[in-house]
Amino acid sequence: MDGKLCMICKKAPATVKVSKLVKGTVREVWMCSRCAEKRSRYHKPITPQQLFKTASEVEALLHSLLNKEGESGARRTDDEDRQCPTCGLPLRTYRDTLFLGCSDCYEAFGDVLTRDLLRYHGATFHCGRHPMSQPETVNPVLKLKDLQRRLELAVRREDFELAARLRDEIKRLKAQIQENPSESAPAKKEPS
Amino acid sequence: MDERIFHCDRWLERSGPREGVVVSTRARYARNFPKIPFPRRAREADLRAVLDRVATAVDHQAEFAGGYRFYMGDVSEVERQYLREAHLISPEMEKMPKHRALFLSANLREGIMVNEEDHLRLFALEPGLRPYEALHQIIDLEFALAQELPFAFSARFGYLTSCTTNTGTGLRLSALLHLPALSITRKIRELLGGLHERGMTWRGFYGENTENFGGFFQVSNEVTLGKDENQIVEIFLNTVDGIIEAEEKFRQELSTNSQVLDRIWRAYGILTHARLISTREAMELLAFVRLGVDMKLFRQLNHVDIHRLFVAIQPSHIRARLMLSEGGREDREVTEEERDQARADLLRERLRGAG
Ligand SMILES: [Zn+2]
Ligand SMILES: [Zn+2]
Repeated sequence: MDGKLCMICKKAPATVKVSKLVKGTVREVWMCSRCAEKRSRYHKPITPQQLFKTASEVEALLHSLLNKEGESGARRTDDEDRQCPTCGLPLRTYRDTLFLGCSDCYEAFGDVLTRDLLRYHGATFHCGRHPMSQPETVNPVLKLKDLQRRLELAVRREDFELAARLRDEIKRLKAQIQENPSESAPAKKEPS
Repeated sequence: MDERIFHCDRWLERSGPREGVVVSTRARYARNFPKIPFPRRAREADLRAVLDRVATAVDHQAEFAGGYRFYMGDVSEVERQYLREAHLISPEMEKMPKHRALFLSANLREGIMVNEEDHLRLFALEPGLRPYEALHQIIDLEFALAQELPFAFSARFGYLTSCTTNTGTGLRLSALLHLPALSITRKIRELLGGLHERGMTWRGFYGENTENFGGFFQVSNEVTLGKDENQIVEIFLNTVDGIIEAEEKFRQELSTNSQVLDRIWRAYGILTHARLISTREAMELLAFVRLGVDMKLFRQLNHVDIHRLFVAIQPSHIRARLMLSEGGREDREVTEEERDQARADLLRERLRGAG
């Protein structure tokens, strides 16, 4: 490492070794910490802002925290007598245990849950996989891409045992695609 | 005892990346049926119906052919404890077995807990630090099951779970970390205390007073709503990488500390010579030996050996060994002293000659 320069910017001294996959073989690339950070999606520093998706959510959070004290006693009691029409869970029980009774409770207590979810997760809307999402592994061509991505990651993280396993899987899949090219047409794009 | 239960420990035999610090990675999805009360509120008939539907869907999964099925109601207490010690079922499932089940794939990489806190808990286990691989396993499993099972989902809240701490993705990624150096140097609270602001959380793995219990911690994502799976993995990896770096830095400093070296060698000395040893003492000492393995003090021992020993010295594992050596008699009472003796015997046998 002594005196070695960053292989990317060729200016700063190299401090980080990154294993990369180049044409099927592992290469070591020495970088300075700035270049390493820029190139790796896994070393991004996390800012507190990222915990909240939008500024409006931060606002809503503050709002809900400030208003908590102001809620009138009468309204709260009213609230607590509500029940889920499907499972009969009283809102009071949820407040006591933090456990819901069934999936319909989310609809029945939506307003209360929105506040609680915001407080706990810093968000009120789901993003991520949904019942229409297809895993990459369903279509052979997408699966191949996915495997190659995982292989790259495994190499970068120096997990050579996994890399060997993925390489075998890629070889098998490639052979399979060559035998049955008709089955490998890309599936229709999922709604995003 | 059902012999197949012993096979389930095989998942401990694989080795993985960064295993000096990361013992294992686990990913799980919480999923539920719409309209049917969640397990805590369900009637027996509901629980039975859920179990039947999941069992039928699992019948159609190639990975689960030749796998393992344990209906907790039919499994003895020792066997349930055994599965819990191998990290395959939760303490809740061990205590309340009725209408609950564990299904494991043939290769023991993934499984399903039925009627735990949620109707389904799909999980994948990987040795070392492999969150992407674990996530992939449960994504594929979930997709396959969703072809025949409807999962409760709302466009707004995502997957609907029994507790609001899982709402959204229903994804929990966790890593079991061994952090002896951070524990010894008392840097641990400070480091773990900063996790909350990243949407991550932690707990001591073996009871509350974990610093005195070998330095094992479980770190996992806390936030499941408003972030997609890839964001959750990135934050998780980023955080665990940071902890590994800190732990390794302090291990480096401790590697020449004669007090620490003395404690490692004393631990090894006791483990290879004791005639009676409790679970707790054995675990504390093994944690030091584990650190010694990382410092390459014991050439013939690796992390997998130590991890397997950690599980093998647990009370029900020892009891099962004793019962097995006598033809599987489950009715026989095993005294504490017999157990401590069997544990000491096992440790000497596995560790001797390693120094
Ligand atoms: Zn540079
Ligand atoms: Zn309900």
